[in-house]
Amino acid sequence: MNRVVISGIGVVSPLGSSFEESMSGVENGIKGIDHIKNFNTDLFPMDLAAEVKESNSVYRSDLDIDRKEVFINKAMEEMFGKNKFIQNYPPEDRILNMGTGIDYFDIVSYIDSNDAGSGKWENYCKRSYKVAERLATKYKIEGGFSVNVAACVASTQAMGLSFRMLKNVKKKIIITGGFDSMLSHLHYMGFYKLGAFSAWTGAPGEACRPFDKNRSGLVLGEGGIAFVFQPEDEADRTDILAEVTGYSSTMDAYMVTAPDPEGRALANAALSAIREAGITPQDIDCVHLHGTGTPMNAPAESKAMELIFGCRFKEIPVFSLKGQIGHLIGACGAMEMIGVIYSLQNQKVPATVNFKDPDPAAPLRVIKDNPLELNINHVLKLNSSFGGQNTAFVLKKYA
Amino acid sequence: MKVVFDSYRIDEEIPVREYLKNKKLHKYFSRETASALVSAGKLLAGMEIDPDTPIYYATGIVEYEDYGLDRIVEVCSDKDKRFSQRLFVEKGLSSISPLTQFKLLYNMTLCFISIEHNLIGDNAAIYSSAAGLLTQGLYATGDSQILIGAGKVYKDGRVETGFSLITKEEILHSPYLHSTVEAIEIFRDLNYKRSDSE
Repeated sequence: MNRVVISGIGVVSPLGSSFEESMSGVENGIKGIDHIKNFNTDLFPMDLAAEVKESNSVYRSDLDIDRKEVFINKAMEEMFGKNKFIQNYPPEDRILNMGTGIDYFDIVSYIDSNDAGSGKWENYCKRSYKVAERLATKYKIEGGFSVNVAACVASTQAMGLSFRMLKNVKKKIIITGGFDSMLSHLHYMGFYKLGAFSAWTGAPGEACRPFDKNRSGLVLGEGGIAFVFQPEDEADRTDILAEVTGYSSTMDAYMVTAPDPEGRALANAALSAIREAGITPQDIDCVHLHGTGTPMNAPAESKAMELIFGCRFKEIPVFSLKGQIGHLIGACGAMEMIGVIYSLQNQKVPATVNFKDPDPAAPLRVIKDNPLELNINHVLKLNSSFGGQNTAFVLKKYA
Repeated sequence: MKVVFDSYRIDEEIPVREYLKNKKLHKYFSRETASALVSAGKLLAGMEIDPDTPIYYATGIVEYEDYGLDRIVEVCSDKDKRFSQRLFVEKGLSSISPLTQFKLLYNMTLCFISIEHNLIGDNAAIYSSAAGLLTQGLYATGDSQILIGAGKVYKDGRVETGFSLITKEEILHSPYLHSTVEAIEIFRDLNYKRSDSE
């Protein structure tokens, strides 16, 4: 079995349009959530989101543009620009595994056109699968591509597949990660109708409050992130950001509308990934949770933590990035890996923004105000999807 | 290898209630989800399936929509047939059912099948390609049988779904392992070969 490492990255996020800007945003607790600026939200009952920033301003695009395609292209440009070694792999040895969300639909242009009501809606639909196909063509990736679409674990499932493939094969390089944006009329309001949005009426930057007693729901985010996964012995040591040592995916099989309140399948995913990493729960130094800011998420994750760590679950430091970048749905887990890389590289657990009042129903050690300095070798990363899917990753400080 | 392949015309009723423990759930289903539940139900009927059996499902590129787009267009257009923000919020919003998201999200079919058959192990939802679906299976944990499925709704509203229990050895020899055709073609082909041999 090969050791698998992350040896390259490109990021476009609500914290900035590069890896460095996004990492700086994590370090400094920058809040990326604000009133939506890119499209008209007049009269909307809610208008908060974490939009992608470029030079500290919201990235603007026309309605006929699928923003998630723009973001992943920018992330890929950064990654290919900085990591010339990818060119050492011939096209047939390059693989693309991406996670993403549902197809974009431009309802405004459709209604304004002569096609409205005629059934000719396909010209206004931008298909996520085709984005990956175009990426593969543009970057001469001819070793195959796969598109995962499991909502909030789409990108971590894509990364999990990449990890499993590279454990078993050499002389291949995999570009993986995720891209998504639901910040458009139809998708934003469709999600609003689910009743999952934060009802916060205070400052926009405080609307998503993972683990806080006064959390009331999620806020959508957007972005794109691309990683290079390589067998460890083919990578330049100076490029290596982290080692991936364990991955697992499980299913609640409970309800599609709510997580299993006991967190059993999530705990099973974590324990399986920890076993694969060749360690025990005692070796995990901190946990980067899904932490959506919804009422049901925190108690379920807390229960899972108890199943994983036993009586230690209240001591182990935990973190969620969603208070800063919102919920990126099809790209969320991959984007949150920047927090994991931050922890491993800086030996710190970031502070979870907007966590003020602990919730007795989720008695976790949430780091607040300032990052916690800690000797960190192994980080556990958990994510869960609307529908009941869970993923768990273990990442290790590369040595 | 056992395979089930189902096809329903747009005007055909999908007998999904016959395959549900909780019959009230059917209101959440798109036609693809309903058909997939029937296919999976037929495949697994009478079997005691290990809850840890990996399950992977590929949904096809959407060619047909029945989520109420025409209704939204109707209520959000002003007198000049232009998009109206006010009408979108006042009338369009109420024309979108909360249940629509369950029909739109691509992982819902997989999740409903897992609930129905109590599958709690490794899983993945894939978009479109046969190679993507089979690659997930090839790198599944363990050496047990793998449950794979796919679905597709065509331009004329016809829905097709297929399911099969397959081994890694069978995946390795599948002509679809490196094929970018839509995953439903695997099941159409397997079904054709099965029918031919019968």
